[in-house]
Amino acid sequence: MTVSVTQLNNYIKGMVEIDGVLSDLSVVGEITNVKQYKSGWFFSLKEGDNSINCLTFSAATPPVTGMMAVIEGHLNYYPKTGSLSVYVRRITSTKNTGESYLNFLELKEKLKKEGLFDDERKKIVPKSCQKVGIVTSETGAVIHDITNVVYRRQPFTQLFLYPVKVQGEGADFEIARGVLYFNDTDVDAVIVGRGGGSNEDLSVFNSEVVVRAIAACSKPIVSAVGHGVDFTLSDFAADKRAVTPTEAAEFVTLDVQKEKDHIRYCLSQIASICNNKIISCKDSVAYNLKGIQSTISLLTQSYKSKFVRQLTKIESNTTNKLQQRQHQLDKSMTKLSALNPKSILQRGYAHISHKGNTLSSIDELQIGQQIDIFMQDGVAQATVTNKETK
Amino acid sequence: MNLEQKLAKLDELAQTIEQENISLSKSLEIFEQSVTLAKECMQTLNDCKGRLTVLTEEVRRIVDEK
Repeated sequence: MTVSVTQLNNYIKGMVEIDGVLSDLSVVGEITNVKQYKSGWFFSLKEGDNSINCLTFSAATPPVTGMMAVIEGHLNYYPKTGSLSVYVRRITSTKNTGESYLNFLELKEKLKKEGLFDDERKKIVPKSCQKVGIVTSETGAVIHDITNVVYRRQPFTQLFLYPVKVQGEGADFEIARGVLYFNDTDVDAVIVGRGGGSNEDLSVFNSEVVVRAIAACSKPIVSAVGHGVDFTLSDFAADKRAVTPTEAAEFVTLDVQKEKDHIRYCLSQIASICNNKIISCKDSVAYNLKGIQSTISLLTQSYKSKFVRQLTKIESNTTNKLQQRQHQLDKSMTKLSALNPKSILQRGYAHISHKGNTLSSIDELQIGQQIDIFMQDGVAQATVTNKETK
Repeated sequence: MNLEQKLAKLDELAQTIEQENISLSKSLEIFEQSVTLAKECMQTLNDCKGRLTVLTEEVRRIVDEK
């Protein structure tokens, strides 16, 4: 009989739903792979190598990795993916911690005591590696992501892949060999990683052989195992832990384009500062020169004013003196004019002389004497006929 | 004298000339000295500007090369 996938899935779903045992289960095991979503919790319940997926939307006790618990609920078949999971309504802790989790903690403590996780052991991962070793699967998203990111950021980088199995039997030894292989190469750093998965999938990176190989490697190691929430012992032993393979690729390379932009920015800042300094110096020169020029101009003006003032003073003094002299001269001239005999004659007086000698007294005259009478406009001769003293 | 010394000297001259007791001939002497210094400063600053332009271009070329 041939049936379609839908028919088969619907058949299985029906069988699961009508089964009395599966509709009311109580299962004991170790909780692992806990993931919280908005809708609820997803986790696995495991015992040794066996596990079953579980989900709960209503359990009062949240699932915790490593917790030994009894879960109560019913089995559900999901036809879209063909997967079985337990819908959990109650989780009851048995107060015991799961065996695998105990083993994990025990190994972690042991390696920690040996100093494998000490910060002092950690090597510096170069920010711009020329050669990078990668220990991961040759197929899958991890190598693809790393290659893409590295070549986009730093196109001149050389990548060397040591392909390994990243889960399952023998994967731990392959990974350890891969890590140690790069000891004798000239790579600048090594990325050890794999994508996300269940705790069981990632457990190879908790294996002692891998952790010891990472700690012993002479090259700086970047671990990129699972997603951000997953922590493995390899992460503790590695020199740097990346949340994702993409971040690991970013740790070992520089974004060349971004660096160029940064250099351009710095350069333009420096140039701008230098330019401002030049402008400021030029301004200072111009300011001082203008100041000096202005002072000189003021000084010249002040000298000029002083000169003009003095000149005016001299001119004024000279004029005064000249006027004084003129006045004195006028006075003298008036005096002189008053003393001029002609001016006396003009007033109607006459000058009498005899043979050129001036006669000013009546006693000097003789009766019958010839005299000259000088008047303002001529001279006349006269004879003295009589005289009388007054 | 380097640029900074010249700028300082120019500053000093600008202060000196403002003193009241300075004669006109001394002022002119200072003015002459200031003009010479200013010329030299401007020359140096123009050289700097030129060098800055050349360097900027050169670094830009280097950055764009790789």
